[in-house]
Amino acid sequence: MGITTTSSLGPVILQSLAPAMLYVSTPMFNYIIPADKVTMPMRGGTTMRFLRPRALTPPTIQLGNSGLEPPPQVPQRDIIDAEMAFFGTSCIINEQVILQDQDPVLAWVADRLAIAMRQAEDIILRDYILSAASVINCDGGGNGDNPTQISVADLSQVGATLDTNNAFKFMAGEIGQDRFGSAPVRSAYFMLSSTQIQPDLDALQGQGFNNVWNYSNNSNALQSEYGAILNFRILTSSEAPVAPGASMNGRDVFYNTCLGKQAVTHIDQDGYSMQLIYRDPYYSGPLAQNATLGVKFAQSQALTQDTAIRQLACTRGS
Amino acid sequence: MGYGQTAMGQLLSNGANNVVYLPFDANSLEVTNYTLSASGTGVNFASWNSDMAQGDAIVSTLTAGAPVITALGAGGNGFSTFSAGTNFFGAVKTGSGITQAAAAVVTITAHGYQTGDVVLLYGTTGMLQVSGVAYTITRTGANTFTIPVNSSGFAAAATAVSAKKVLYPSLYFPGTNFITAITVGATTTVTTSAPHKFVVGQEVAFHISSNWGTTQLDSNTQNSATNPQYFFVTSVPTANTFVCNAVSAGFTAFAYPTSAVYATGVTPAQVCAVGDNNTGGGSNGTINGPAIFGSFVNNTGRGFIIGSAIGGASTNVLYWKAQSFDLVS
Repeated sequence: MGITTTSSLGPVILQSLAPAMLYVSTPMFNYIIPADKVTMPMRGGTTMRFLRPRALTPPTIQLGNSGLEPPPQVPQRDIIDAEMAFFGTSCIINEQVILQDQDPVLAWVADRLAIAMRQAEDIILRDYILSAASVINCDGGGNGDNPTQISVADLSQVGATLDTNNAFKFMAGEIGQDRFGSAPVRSAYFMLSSTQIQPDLDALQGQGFNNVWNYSNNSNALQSEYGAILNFRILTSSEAPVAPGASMNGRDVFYNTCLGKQAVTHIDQDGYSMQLIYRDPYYSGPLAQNATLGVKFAQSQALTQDTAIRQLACTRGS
Repeated sequence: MGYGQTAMGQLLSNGANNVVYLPFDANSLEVTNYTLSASGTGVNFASWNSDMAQGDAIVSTLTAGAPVITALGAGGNGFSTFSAGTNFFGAVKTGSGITQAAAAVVTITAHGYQTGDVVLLYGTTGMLQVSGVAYTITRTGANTFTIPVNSSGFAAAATAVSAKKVLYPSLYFPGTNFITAITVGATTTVTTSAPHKFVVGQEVAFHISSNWGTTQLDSNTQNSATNPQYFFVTSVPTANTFVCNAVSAGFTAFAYPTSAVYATGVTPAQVCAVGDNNTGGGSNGTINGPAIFGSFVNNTGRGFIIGSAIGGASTNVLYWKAQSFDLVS
């Protein structure tokens, strides 16, 4: 008596679709976090203009008793303009895909488009900062390259530069608690770094670097926060800028964006912020074959406080 | 309804590489040189599609007889497409060194670069102070080019160098530029390693450490309890030089640090845009319309390049077509 098995019967479709889509590796979007946010009004033109008054000279010289007036000061201001730009992308999906595929194609394509849009916003801001902000090369490490790997001396130098420029720090530090291994995190600047230099940051433990899991209370820590040292809270992302082979000795150069409040401003457009657009196949032609999904947004950015931002360039320690 | 796109246009050739911006990625390109078609000599027509290599083209060359049809091959200065959304580098090339000269000469066999290209130099043996910086190059031969650095006073030549082209050097402008020379005086003339993209009226800040000499220009020299020290651009003689209103007569001369000092981790001297002094309008040629001169601008874009092998001579009239087809098999 023969036993009928799945091997002896004719071919059938044996697969079942898993209940959930697998996750898509997505980098942390850090560059939008410390940026100031401004909205261009509708019918407001093509360019956002920022004005910054210059400080007046403090009157430290006594008037005397002559009754004569000292010379008046002439107020001045700096003008910074940023032009709006428009971005978008789309997918065209044939109806047969929607009809026959077993997975929710429209749903996950819409999801991916939305993520791509947010990622574009962050990449644009990252690349703009890379081109516009001034650079300080690390020189406190010992790998013999220019720039060297990151060191406490380099972070101290950048912190001193920002402090000397009277840059504003971001508030919401952490107070200390009676718990072993914890330490308070004070109000600080942000440093936006690459995940690839995390080993070099770990090497600074014992020299003042405090990992996020050692915060007295890390419930307020940001999702991408890796730790803190001196006046800096460090956020890492795999999408941080790196110039491959660009150091003096041909190593990759990583740019750590150190910034205070209002150093960079992100500008969106009123009436045009991040739209997800779905068009039914009805609109695609006489046979209504294709649906479209698209995203679009408008964005600009400006270096609004040149004195409150520095790109600390470093290489890896090994 | 199809989703393919088409575009056409006309331009006057610049005699070198002509850049055409498009709102889509083309997979078919054509160009007709009307001037040479009328004269009966030279490359009068070229075409390309996305199955061909970058720089390739099918070329029709007019001579005394019938037109001769040839293919340029990959890298042949024909058609190239670009989609410049973020920073990219070209292939790595290695060379034998950099000379000591008023305009330092870099030797890299068959480098393939053209005048105006921005090239990152690194991995030098000796002359470390020029390493790790991107420069606008001037082609002097198939194996040599110069950079805007006066290395005649450097202690020794470099005996090895690596290079790679910065494919899209000005995605965002104006930005931070590395300084290669400063001429002090009643006004101050600055030379940058790559195109600075500044305009007249641009407000700039210098970041110059003591390793480079002219620290008096540094933006933090002044008492920071009042204001950082900023200057304004008064003229732009070339893409790599500008003049600003800094009265620098008597300032310390600008000078490169020695190779040994640079190796300790010296930060290059820089000049950054920190604002503008312009209230008028004008076009910077950006995709999204007119801009105020000196404003921060996003210059990312896509399109194609009509290479020097098919673009004819300067002022030749070129008619181009670009298409993106729905179905490519």
